[in-house]
Amino acid sequence: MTEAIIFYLFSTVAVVSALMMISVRNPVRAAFYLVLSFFASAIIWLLLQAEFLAIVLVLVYVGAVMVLFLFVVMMLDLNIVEKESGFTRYFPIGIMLAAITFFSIYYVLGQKESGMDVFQSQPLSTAASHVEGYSNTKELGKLLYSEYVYAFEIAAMLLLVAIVAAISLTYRRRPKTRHQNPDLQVSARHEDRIRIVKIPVEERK
Amino acid sequence: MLDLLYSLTSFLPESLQTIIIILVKIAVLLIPLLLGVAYLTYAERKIIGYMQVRIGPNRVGPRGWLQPIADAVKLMFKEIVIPNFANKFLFLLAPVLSIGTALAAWAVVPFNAELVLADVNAGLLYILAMTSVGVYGVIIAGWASNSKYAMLSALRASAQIVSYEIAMGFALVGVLMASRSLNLGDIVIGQSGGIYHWYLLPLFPLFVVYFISGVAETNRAPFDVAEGESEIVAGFHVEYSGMAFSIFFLAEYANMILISMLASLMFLGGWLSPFEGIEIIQNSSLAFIGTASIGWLLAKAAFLLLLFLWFRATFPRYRYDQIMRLGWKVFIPITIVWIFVIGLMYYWQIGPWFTH
Amino acid sequence: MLTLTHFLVLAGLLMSIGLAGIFINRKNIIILLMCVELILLAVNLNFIAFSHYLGNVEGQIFVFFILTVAAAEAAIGLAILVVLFRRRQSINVDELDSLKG
Repeated sequence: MTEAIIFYLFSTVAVVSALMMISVRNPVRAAFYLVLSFFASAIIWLLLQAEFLAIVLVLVYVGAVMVLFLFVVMMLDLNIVEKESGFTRYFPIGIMLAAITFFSIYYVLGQKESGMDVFQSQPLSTAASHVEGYSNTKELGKLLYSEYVYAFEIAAMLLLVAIVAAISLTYRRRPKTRHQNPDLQVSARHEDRIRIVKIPVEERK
Repeated sequence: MLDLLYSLTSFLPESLQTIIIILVKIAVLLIPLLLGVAYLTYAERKIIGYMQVRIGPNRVGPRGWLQPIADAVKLMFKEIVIPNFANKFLFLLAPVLSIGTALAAWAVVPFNAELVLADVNAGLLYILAMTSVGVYGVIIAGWASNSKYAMLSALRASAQIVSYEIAMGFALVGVLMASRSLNLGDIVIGQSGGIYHWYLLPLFPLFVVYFISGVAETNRAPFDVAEGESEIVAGFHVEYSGMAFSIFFLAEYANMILISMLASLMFLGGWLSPFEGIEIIQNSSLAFIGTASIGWLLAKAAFLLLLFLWFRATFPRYRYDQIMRLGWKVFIPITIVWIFVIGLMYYWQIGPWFTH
Repeated sequence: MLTLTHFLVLAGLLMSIGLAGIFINRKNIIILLMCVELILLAVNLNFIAFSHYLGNVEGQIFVFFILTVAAAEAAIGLAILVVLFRRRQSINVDELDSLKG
C-alpha cells in the first residue's frame, strides 16, 4: 500500500516535470525540471532496492552533470525568444510520434503473444526479500571487480578521454592576459630589484 | 525513553505511531543541532574577538550569552524583500534547499554505537549525495535573485563546491577502503583499540585533504571568494534579507558542524576514547575517561570547529584561481596516490589497520 | 499492488516524452542534450526494474556503465557546445549549416 502511494506520487512528479522540461521556454528552467525528474526517478529506484545506483544517480546526475548543464546555460548569453519559432510547427508531429511510441510499448506489454502479460499477474515484492546482512553495494562491487573488470577499466579510460577531450576543446590561450610566474617571483633576489649605487660625496662649495 | 513514547502513542494505528516516533526522533536531533549552530555563531565572534585582542559581544545577557537569541529575534522581525523581476518561487525555494540538504545529511550520523536516526548501509554515499545536492541552493539563489553579483557568486561558489567534492569523495574512498564499510557506525567500530588504531595515522594526508576540502565546501574563509565582500558584495545571498538570509547562515554553520562531526567519526575514532586500553587509567578512579562516550565525539568535533574559526582569523583570502589550482592540481593527485598507498599497505598487511 | 508492468509503463512514458522533446525543441541543442539524458534515464529504469524482477544484479551493472557513458557524453557535448557558441554566437541548430568552422 505504502509502496503504491510512493510509486504513484513520484512517478507523477517525474512525468509532469519531464513534460514541463520539454515545454518551458527558458533552458535554465528546463534544466531545473530535469533535475526534479531525476530526483523522483532516484526515489523510484530506491523502491526497486537499487540503493547504490539511486544514490549514484543523485550524486552524479543531479550533483555533477546537471550542474554542468546549468553552468553552460547560465554562462552562454542565450537569446530565449528565438525558441518561440518552430515550437508550434513541430508540436503536432512530436506529440504524434511520442504517442505512437508509447502506445506501441503499452500494447506489447499487455500482449499474450509477446509473453509480457505475465508481468501483470505477479506482484513485485518491494518488501525486503534478501537475507540479513545483504548489501546492494557489496554485491555490485563483487560483480564489477570480477566478471566485469575489463568493462570497468574501459569505462575508466572513457572517462579519462572525456576529461582530456573536454579540456582540450574548451581551453583557449589568451595571449593578452598576463600570467604570474610564482617560480620567478619566489626566486627573485634583492640584487635583481635593487641596485645600490655609490655616489661620491661632493664637497660643499 | 523510547518505550515511554511507544506506550504514550499506543492508541494510534501502527503506521501513524511509527511516523510520530520518527518525527520525535528528528526533533530530538535537530533542536540541539540548531542550538549548537546558534551558539557557534556566538563562539565564532567571541573566539575571533579574543584572537584579535577584542572582547567580542558582551552586551546582551551575562557576558553576551544571549546574543544569538537577540540576533535570531532581530532577523525574524525583518521584512523579506523580494527583488523586482526575481523568480519568486525559486527565490524562496533556494534557502529551503540549502537548509534541507544540510539537515538531511544528519540522518545517518551516529552519536554512539546505538544512537543513530537511520542506520543505513550506504551512509557515506548518502552524505556525499546530500552535500552535492546542496549546490542547488547556491545556484538557484544566484539565478533567481536577478542580480549580477549574486549570479557571479553563484557560479564561483558552485564551481568551487563541485571541484572540492571530488577531492572529498576520493578522501572518503580511502576511508572506506580502510574500514571496508560505508556505514559510519562500522567505520568507527573499525577504529577501536586505542589511539593507534584511529585512521588518523595511516590516512593522515586524506584527513588533511578532507578537512581543507570541507572548509572549501562550506565556503568558509580562507576560501570564501563566493562572498568576498570586497569583490562581489556578499555573494549569492546579497538580495536576501531577514529570515531568508538567516536560513542560508544556519545552513552554512550546520554544514560546518557536519564536516567536523564526520571528520571526527572517520579519522579520529568518533565516540571512542583516546585512552582506551591503557591499564593505569582503567584501574584508577579516572576510568571514565578511558571509556567510549558521546562526550569524546563532541569534544573532537568542537576542536575541529575551533580550527574552522582559527583559519578564518589567521589566513588571508585565497585568489580564485589559486583555490581551483589547490583543489585540482594538489588535492586530487594526493588522494589518488594515497589510495594506491593504501592498496600497498593492504598487500603488505601493515600495522594494526590493514591486517584483515 | 505494484507489478513490473507499472515500472515498464513509466519508463515507456518517460522515453516518449524525451522523444517528443527532441522533435518539439529542434532548435536548441541544450534541450536536445537534456532530452537524450531523459531517454537514457528511462532505459536505466527498465534495466533496474528487470534486475529487481529477475533477482539478478547484472542489470544494475549495465546501468552503472550507462551512467558513466552518459556523463562522458554530456561533458563532451557541452564542451562542443561552448566552442560552437564562441564561434557562431548561437546554438540554434538551423544556423549550423556550413561545414567550415
